[in-house]
Amino acid sequence: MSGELLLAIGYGAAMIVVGAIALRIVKRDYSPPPRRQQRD
Amino acid sequence: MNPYAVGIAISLLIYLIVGSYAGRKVKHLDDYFVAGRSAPTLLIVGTLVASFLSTSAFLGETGFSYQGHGPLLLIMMAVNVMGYVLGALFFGRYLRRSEALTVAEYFGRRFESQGKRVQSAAGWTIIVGLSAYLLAVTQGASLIVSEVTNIPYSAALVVVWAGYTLFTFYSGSRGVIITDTMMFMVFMVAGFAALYYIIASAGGWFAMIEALATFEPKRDLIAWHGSLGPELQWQAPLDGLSWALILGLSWGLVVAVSPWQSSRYLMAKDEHTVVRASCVAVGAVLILYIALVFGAIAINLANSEIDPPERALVWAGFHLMPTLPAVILMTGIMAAALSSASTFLSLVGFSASHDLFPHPLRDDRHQLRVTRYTMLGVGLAALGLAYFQPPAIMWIAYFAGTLFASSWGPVAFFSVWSDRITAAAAFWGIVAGFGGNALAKLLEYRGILDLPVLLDPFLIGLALSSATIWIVSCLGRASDAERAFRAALHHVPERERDERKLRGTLRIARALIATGVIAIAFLIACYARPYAAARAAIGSGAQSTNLSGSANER
Repeated sequence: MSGELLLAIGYGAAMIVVGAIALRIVKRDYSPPPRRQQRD
Repeated sequence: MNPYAVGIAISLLIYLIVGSYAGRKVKHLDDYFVAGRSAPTLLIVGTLVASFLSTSAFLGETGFSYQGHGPLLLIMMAVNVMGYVLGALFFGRYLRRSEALTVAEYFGRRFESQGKRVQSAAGWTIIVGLSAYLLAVTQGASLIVSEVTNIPYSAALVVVWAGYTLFTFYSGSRGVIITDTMMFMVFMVAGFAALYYIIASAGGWFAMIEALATFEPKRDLIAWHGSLGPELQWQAPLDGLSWALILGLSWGLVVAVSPWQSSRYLMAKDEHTVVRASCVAVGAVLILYIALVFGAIAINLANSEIDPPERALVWAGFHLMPTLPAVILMTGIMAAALSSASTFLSLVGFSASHDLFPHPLRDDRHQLRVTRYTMLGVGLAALGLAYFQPPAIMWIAYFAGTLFASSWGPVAFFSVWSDRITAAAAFWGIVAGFGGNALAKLLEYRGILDLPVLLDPFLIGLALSSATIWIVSCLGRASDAERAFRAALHHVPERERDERKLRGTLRIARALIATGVIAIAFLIACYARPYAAARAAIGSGAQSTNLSGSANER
């Protein structure tokens, strides 16, 4: 694989990696509690 | 009056009017310092990117790309911007949760047993680092204005200074974030307008890539490692790659924790806005850099002997673009400088009035008035210093950014993620990181030390700061109040657990992932493949270079 191809993949991968991290952490920290727990 | 002068004058007038209008809504200290903590995503993205990019991006880095180091700049930026999201997730949203008025105040409250000392140390680093940065940006913008409008440098200096000081001192952060966002839009348009006309002058995108791949006067302009050689900055690809990764890491820390980036999160209306803005900033900066880097490299096809290279984009404006788009380009370069300058001025003013010399005044209104006068005083001092151009200041500007990475980086993350860090460790961590980086850079600048890439002053400062925090923390114990403050930071407010807000934030994170996929597809189809084809077409000339610098037949 050429360096130019790696550069192309790496450049976009930076966005994919941080987007995926944000997705995971936001889901974990900001999901509303389940309804049953809210009633309790 | 030439059209460039008219364009710049109109833009300055608009910023002044908008800033003044925003200033009329400033009633309380909260409005002035953190825009009432009510800014939506667009304004946070605008101010994040606008205060990050200045003349160094539009002149320095385009010149660097024009010289032949563009692909390394892309590698550096890819690492750098990851700091936006990681900084927002692991520091920025906790900073906002603290409801401090400045980042230095956050440090003071987090390390309350020596709060004043820690807040002052952070405040002084802002005054020293950002004042130098402010001078460099002011002087750079004045040189451009003087060049394109044909007015004397001293007059240009006053115009530029007035262009950011008048509304910043009156409206504080409320005006700064609105004008920053307008300037962000102007320079985004300017960047893509420049790319469009440079591509057109090269006969289209694919003709441009083919011509650059086989360009003889400067070889390897768009090879992944860029141009190499004894007369250039790097001789082997690995040296260039190490530089790009280390600088990317250091500037990644800068966008994660530096005062002129993380303080933007204090103005966000909620924590979802913090995360959303960081995701959009990553996409906006990386898309803009594709335009800036390829545009700057392609200027070589029209003229490969522009000297100094930092003038390449201005040259392209004058010679490759019609008047109106060229006016937009010059206005955009100016906007990039003004937006950074207004943020730096506001932060230096806030630190002087709030972190270093706080006034125990009767009420909000009096404190607001004193802060405004302090801001004006700081602005006048900056004008005086910029006019006399003390040479000692310039070298500080050269590394001012990474000073914050090494001095604030470890303390910022430990303040959120460690229960063991003590107030004394935070203070000495800031001092050691700042001092270590500054001293190593000074010795290198004076030619006393010649440090290898892997011993970059930033890394020395970072290692010293981290080691100091660890050692000093072992000698003491964090107070109960400090532990309680940290525990409170980790409590997610109920109002943030909102289904609708959550869906919006997840949508933006997914959009960032999709943008990454599109960027990969675009760069493979429009850069890597046509580049390989062009190199293959010239037969025996087709070579690729491995990491150690030796050439292999492809």
